[in-house]
Amino acid sequence: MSGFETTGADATVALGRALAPLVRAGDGLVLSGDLGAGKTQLTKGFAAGLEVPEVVTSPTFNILLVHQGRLPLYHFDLYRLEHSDQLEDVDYWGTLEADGVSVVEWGDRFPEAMPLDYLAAHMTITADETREIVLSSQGTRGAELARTWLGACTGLADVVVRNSDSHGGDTA
Amino acid sequence: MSFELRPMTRGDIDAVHEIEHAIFPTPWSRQTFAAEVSIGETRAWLVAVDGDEVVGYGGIMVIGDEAHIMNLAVREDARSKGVGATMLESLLASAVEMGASRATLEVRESNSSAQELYRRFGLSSVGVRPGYYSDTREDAVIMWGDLLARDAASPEAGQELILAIESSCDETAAAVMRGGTELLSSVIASQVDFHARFGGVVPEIASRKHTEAIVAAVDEALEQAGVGFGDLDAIAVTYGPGLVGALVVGVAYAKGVALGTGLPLVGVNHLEGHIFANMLADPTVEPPLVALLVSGGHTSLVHMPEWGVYHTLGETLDDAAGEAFDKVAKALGLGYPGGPILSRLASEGNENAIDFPRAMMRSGNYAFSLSGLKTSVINHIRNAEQAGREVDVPDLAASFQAAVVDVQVSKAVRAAQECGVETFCLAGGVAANPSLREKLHEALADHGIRLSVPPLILCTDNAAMIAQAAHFRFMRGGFLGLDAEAIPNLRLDSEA
Repeated sequence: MSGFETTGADATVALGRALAPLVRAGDGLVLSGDLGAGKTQLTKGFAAGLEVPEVVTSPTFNILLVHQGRLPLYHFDLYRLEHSDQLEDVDYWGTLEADGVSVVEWGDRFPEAMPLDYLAAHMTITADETREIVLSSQGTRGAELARTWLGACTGLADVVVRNSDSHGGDTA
Repeated sequence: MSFELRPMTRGDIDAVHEIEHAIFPTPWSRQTFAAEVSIGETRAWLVAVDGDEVVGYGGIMVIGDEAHIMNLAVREDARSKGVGATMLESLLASAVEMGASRATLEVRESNSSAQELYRRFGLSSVGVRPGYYSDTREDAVIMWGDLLARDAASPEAGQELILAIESSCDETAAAVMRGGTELLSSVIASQVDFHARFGGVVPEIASRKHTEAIVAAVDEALEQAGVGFGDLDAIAVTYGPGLVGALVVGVAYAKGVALGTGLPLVGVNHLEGHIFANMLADPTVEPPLVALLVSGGHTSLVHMPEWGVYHTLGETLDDAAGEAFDKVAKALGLGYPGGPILSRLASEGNENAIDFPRAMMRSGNYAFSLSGLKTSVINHIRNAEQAGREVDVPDLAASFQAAVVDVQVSKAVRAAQECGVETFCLAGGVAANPSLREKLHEALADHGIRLSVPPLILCTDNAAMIAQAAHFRFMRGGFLGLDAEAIPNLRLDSEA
């Protein structure tokens, strides 16, 4: 697998921050994983890296929160949606194609919700303070983001980078 | 001098032009006046006459909902007698009849008496056009004003009938209130047996569902109140914060009604509405006060030093309190939203069983953080499962709830003391939590601070609280233009 292991919420925030300089308008990041795995923490770091001035809070209630940084940040949370036809109601696809970068928490709830080209991070709680983050991608832009993000995180404190491309694939 | 107004005709043009020529450095031509008077439909031109002598004139052009005041003049020797003001009053009334909701004009920067007249009619300066007047290169001051706002000030004070609409999230609701005191109806679509009457509409986040429910909810609210659109004095609507797809339905509907009826539109902040649920339940509640807003989407402490003024003291940095309850309930397999089930189980458990973290308890500010607590609870459940221990759900629920409530109560009391208020208001759906009510009541009572908690039906989303908040905005003349939009991240502090 390719991805990361982080120890502590600060390391998860740092991961998000490292992704921010690599993205451009139209990019999509899909986050999945258990409650408490750190999806919102990662997004907080990402938003800070995008120079979003305000506090980024959980979008569970509002489904979509929009922040303005270097690029507009569309922060979706599909947790409360029950049917994929509700995606239309929140203008999901229109927003993905807009002028900003989208982060979709619980994007794996509906197969239809996956963008055509994206980077996905699945987050798992491995112990109280540690998280495993497995990357996957779709399309050339998603693959490029995965590759550059892995490279950008080398040397971050409390982050272990696992890159199956460069290490010949160690774990599944 | 006495004078009266009548429409301008072609026969007045010579007299009008004479005044125009005497007072304006770059006067309009006779042809321009003749053309204007002959256009008709989108124009209103009038003259003020003393006997058969023209002493003043003015005209407007209406485009869509905008009235442009094109010209307004009073003969030098007829000034300071209210001719200008009377003509302006009449022109603006015509503008409203012609469908305008706003008025605009340009005036010479040096003409302070004209600007003063326009200000008296609710127009204010929004900018300048540099060098607009070709003769002197003088700047033009651009002024704008809301016509419906001044039109609405007319109903007998405190007796106005307001229809309020709320659709900021999961609920579609409508209410009718008279004079800010008499609630004539309050309809929440999900709680009405619409199935029998309208064929089954369950509102939710979907804008489509709000669209289906809103007409029925408004009709029901009007019917219960025994009034029709024609009896109303204003339309109020929640225009933020909330889910954009849900908000836009209420805002679009309210704008439609305002346009169709010519009634003024009052915009209410959803969080302000929650605070006003307290005034609705108990009319003796008034600022200065501090309110704790706790719901599925919000956790914030707000200082309200006087009517219409809000200072947000602190908010959650991550999850809202209601959201934390719901997510912990979900992790315990209690379903979603499971906050109410969790708080019921908590009443059977020992709140000292598990020592969960009290985040930000001693941070010295009013910010909240609940995501760390959520993660601690999830870790506790996971560790118990891995060790083969069974989780004592009531104990966990009680310990989690105590961790949430302790922080809220501690910050609430400190905020009330620091702001020096004697009234504290609880608002939002989590106000239903018995432990929060009880502990907050005790802690505030120790400091001689009174706690107001509305009945549960007013704590969750409803339109009655929006109507109550709208009453105060209406009385202060706070109106939205028909170009208003839903603002999903509307701040409370920016409201005046």
